[in-house]
Amino acid sequence: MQKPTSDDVRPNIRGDIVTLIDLALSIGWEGVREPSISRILYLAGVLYSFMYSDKRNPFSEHYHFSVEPTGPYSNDVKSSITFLDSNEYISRIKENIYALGTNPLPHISTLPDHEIKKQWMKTILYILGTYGEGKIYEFVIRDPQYQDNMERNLISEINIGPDNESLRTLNQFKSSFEESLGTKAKQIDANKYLELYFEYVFSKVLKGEIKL
Amino acid sequence: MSIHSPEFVKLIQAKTDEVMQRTASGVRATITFKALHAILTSYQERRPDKNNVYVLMISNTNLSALQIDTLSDEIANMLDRALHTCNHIEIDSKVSIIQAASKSFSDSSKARLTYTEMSRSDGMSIFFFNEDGITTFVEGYDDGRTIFFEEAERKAYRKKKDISEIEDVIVDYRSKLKEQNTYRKFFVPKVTLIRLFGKKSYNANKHLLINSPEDAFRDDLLAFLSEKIRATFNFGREFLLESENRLDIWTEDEKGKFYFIEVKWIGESINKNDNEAGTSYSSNYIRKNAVRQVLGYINELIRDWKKTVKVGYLAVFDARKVRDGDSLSDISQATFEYDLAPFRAYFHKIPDFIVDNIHPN
Repeated sequence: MQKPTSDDVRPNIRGDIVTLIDLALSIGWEGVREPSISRILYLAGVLYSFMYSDKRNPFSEHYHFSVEPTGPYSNDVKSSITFLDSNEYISRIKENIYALGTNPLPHISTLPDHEIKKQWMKTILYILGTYGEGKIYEFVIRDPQYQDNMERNLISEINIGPDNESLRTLNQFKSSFEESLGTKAKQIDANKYLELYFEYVFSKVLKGEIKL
Repeated sequence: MSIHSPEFVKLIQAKTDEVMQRTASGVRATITFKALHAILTSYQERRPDKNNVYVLMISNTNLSALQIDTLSDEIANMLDRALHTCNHIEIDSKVSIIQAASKSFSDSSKARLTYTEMSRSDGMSIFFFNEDGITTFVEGYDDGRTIFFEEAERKAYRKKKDISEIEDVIVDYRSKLKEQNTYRKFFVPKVTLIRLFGKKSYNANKHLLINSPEDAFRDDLLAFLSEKIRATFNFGREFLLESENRLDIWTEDEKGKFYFIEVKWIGESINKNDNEAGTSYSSNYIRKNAVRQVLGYINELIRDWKKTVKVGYLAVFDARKVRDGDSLSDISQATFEYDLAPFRAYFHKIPDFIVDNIHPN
């Protein structure tokens, strides 16, 4: 069951969706599929605290996802897409695929945490972009926190806060690297760990060699 | 393997150099490189002919000056146009083509070496496209996404058969054994035969096999199977059985089904001093020893190694001077302990591989 969302956070979600679509278009996507919007926002939220461990997670404050067979689902994302589409801030170019609309979303740059969220979404999207949009579903449904909710058949909200299962796994991944690489591991920053995480763990996970 | 397990730590340890190089690369870490990689991935995803092989290159200096946020359409248009006539394209920071050519390499290792060297010495970032996606070469290292850098090799690989067709491939092997280049390596060379038996009598001894010919038989069969079947064939090492014997040839399919081939020979071989006939084996050896050995291996693989054995083949190379039929035309001709009887179901005797030294040198 998702928590009801106050109207206060809806502008933030709308701003994130427009930003996300804008970034995706800049790397050559013709648009973003509706399920991919939720999936990317979910990954951005669940992994945020790995990169910014000393900061509050604005995604966990704004988003409430639940488990659906097609991936994380949020009523607020769904209704925000409808709002943005009907006001032509975004435009449905094909069944379920959205590009930017004819109207620019007003005041987007003044939304709280806009710039830091934009940079973070860019980081996530550039990593995902090297695998292609089609792989995002596989990344999400194998995400440890998502798996945890699925396996326990939890209908409650997925935890994307600082104590979530995905972060725990990512930190264990980092510990394994530190253990095996010793002092050399100090040369690897959080950004690179994140890339390695996707590259090594997920590529192995997808091949069934590693259990998260 | 779990992410917390010692195996995972070992996996990283084994890849220490690769990991450190990947993370130390200044170019790969730049937002421009990542964005260009994402743009090219998106472009390749949209192309209907994903098996088209082509290469995009950009110097690292030009890469750093690329105004990447606004260039995705220009990159796609440039590639659409250039790929009509070329497959190797170098661009500058304005996405203008500096040079374009059609190139091919004689094999994948040469192609890989060339791209690696260009990325190291010439400061190029190279994006290699094929149906596996994009493989990048930066600062002397690739990201290992494909093993085929030459399309002919992939086509040859595609032509390979599935492991389930191993028996058809074995039939083909019989033809190869009739080729002089194949069979002559199993037999004592003509010059040695003349030295030992004189010009008049050497012909009567041309059936003599080299000393310890089992390795030559095994290697030849192994190479043929590897060439014709989409599987990695191995020999020995990893399977030191309780009996202290090693499997001659083995492989596992993607579902973990285990196949192995025990290679034997019958006939006569020269001794290790190359001066007279040495060891000889007859059908009796196959019927009394070899079958028991293969059944024993199946037993050990299932019991100790917990393998799902699909089949254990017995392959016999027959180089006898005088033949009296197949060395084992029916398993009822074999003798083995009662305990091994249940493993007959996994056993298959390949009809003998006939090897004749028809034209000794």
